Amino acid sequence: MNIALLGNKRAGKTSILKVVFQKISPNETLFTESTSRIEEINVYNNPYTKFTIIDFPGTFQISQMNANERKYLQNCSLVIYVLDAQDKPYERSLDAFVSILREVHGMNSQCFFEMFIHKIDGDMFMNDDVKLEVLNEVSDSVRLKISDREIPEPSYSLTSIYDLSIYEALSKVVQKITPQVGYLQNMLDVLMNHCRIDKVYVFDVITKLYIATDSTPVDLISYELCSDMIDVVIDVSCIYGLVESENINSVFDKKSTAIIKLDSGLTLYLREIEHMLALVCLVKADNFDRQHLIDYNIECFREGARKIFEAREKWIKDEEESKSFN
Amino acid sequence: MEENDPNKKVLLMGKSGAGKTSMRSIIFANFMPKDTMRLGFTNSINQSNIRFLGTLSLALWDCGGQDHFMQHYFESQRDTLFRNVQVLIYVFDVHSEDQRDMNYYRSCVDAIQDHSPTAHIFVLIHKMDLIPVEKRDEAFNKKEREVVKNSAGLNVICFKTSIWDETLYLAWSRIVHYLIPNSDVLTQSLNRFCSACEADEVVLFEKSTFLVISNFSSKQHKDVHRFEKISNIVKQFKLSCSKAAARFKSMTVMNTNFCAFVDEFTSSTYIMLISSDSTILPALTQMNIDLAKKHFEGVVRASTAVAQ
Ligand SMILES: Nc1nc2c(ncn2[C@@H]2O[C@H](COP(=O)(O)OP(=O)(O)OP(=O)(O)O)[C@@H](O)[C@H]2O)c(=O)[nH]1
Ligand SMILES: Nc1nc2c(ncn2[C@@H]2O[C@H](COP(=O)(O)OP(=O)(O)O)[C@@H](O)[C@H]2O)c(=O)[nH]1
Ligand SMILES: [Mg+2]
Repeated sequence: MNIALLGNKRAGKTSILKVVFQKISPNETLFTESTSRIEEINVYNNPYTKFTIIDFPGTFQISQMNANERKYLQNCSLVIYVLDAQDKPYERSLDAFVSILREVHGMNSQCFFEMFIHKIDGDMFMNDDVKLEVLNEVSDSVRLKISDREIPEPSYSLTSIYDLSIYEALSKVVQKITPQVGYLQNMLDVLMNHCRIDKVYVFDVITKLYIATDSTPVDLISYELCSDMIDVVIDVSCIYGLVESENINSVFDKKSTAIIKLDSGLTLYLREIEHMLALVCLVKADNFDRQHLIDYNIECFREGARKIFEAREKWIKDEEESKSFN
Repeated sequence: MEENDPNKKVLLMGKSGAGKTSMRSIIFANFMPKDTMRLGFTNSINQSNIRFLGTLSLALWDCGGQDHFMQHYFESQRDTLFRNVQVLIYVFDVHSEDQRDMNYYRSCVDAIQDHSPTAHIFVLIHKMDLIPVEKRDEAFNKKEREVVKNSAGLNVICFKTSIWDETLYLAWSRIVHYLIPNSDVLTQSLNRFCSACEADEVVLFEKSTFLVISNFSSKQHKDVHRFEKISNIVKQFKLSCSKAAARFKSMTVMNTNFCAFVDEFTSSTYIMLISSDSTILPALTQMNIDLAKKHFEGVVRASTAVAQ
């Protein structure tokens, strides 16, 4: 699965990738070099977190696209357009976005579109009203421009590399193009009801994107707590859980487990369910009395998820074989 | 004022912008490192009284470092400011080459020598994060030599620090250690507790600052800065919890090789216990910790008690 990342020069595309996938601190992106040609980032942290992001240079113009660029756009499942919210007026960028929508939809009708209204931080965007205003302004204006054409309506996210918003937006993007997500979500709903859990996430430990969650709405506060918990678990395990000469990936192993209790009566519970994949749930302390029951149900979820992904792998392989056969 | 007085006067000095208010705010007022970017300069002296380990009280004097304030400190305020000092902490910005800074330090040392000859002196070479990793030792050693040369033969301890990593906790843990009258009592009790639980090590942290108060290890560990790292990790997480309007109580983290417990312990401390023996059930260790709470309440009190 490929995701294309487009947008003006200095809109923040490369910074997003560096912060989320290469763990560079947001401050350090101030000195990133401008991207001059297409770059591919392959993410393969475990069978459940597997995709490619294609970083286009800011100079890219859809009207002058070459054969190579065309090929990338024909094969991608989703296009993210990054709009620099601190670079007003947006008019020209929005026109560029609409041309991209039209062109790419014309040659790749399955493709999803997503706009990141980015750099939504700093003094300009201190309060949430301002953020919503920008969101409405942008989406209204795009809707007007595409009103008479047969193009799908894009989705919008407000993002910044200085907080968790970029992780949330990317989590949603990844879920949109992962066909198994619906099944996982159903299984998580069942798990949640059986064990009286308040909220559950499946996290890619390396990027801290969540690749699935139950069907109740995501609130940033619980997401942030779980994400910070992963940091704690990895950091503490790096100090005490690393036996000589092992590599850093092995600190998170089959027995990795963590419990954090808060005075609000909430318990955070984390379990490894696959290589570099964690299930994290929030449970009321009263419902956490039978931990073995939760463990048993998590084990069932792990098995179910594994089967779903194996079926998918097999399907892809069969597909390829029949292609090469023809 | 004597070593045993529960009121401890701590002077925090250094040139303006060196980072004094930043570190004080992180350690004692639960600031995130990035929150310090909003701090303005300190106007004259900011005095705060900090309760520590239940009964100790630190009078922390954060002395604004602009030149005109500094002049006052060494002229009209010299007698009052430098009297009864238990600890002097002088902060240097590692980048600063300003000769005035060293002169101010020299004046501090002289004033301390005159008015509080028993005070402990600590020098923090700060903002080390701005120096590339491979050059840090060299920059630190150079500055340290210069500091020692200007310390009039007094005993000074230098630390390299940055608000962005655990070095801040290392320095401040060592500093507060000098303010606990009977810290041996604590170490001995931890030693016994550690063997009773068959643990690898146990560490006590002060509740609100998460500074390391005492520790005992029955096993060698290659990372000598691990306790400060834990302070930093847990403190950050405590702040995330407060964003969610909750308070951190306890955590257990394990993998195949270890199990770590961090738990509220006495009314003024947290405990961390590390075990690498997978035959000991976590529930048993948890029970041991709970049982020891009451006993340690008394031990902590004894360690901070004023000797007669
Ligand atoms: N890079 C870096 N910056 C730091 C560090 N510590 C503090 N700062 C920054 O230094 C600036 C000045 O910090 P303050 O704590 O206000 O300085 P001060 O020593 O109290 O200054 P006065 O009150 O005028 O004496 C702030 O913007 C901090 O964010 C550090 O370890 N590394
Ligand atoms: N304030 C703010 N600045 C950002 C954000 N994301 C990126 N930037 C800055 O935007 C600039 C351009 O980023 P870059 O990734 O090179 O843009 P690209 O040309 O689209 O790849 C850099 O200086 C980044 O530090 C953000 O979320 N907020
Ligand atoms: Mg200050």
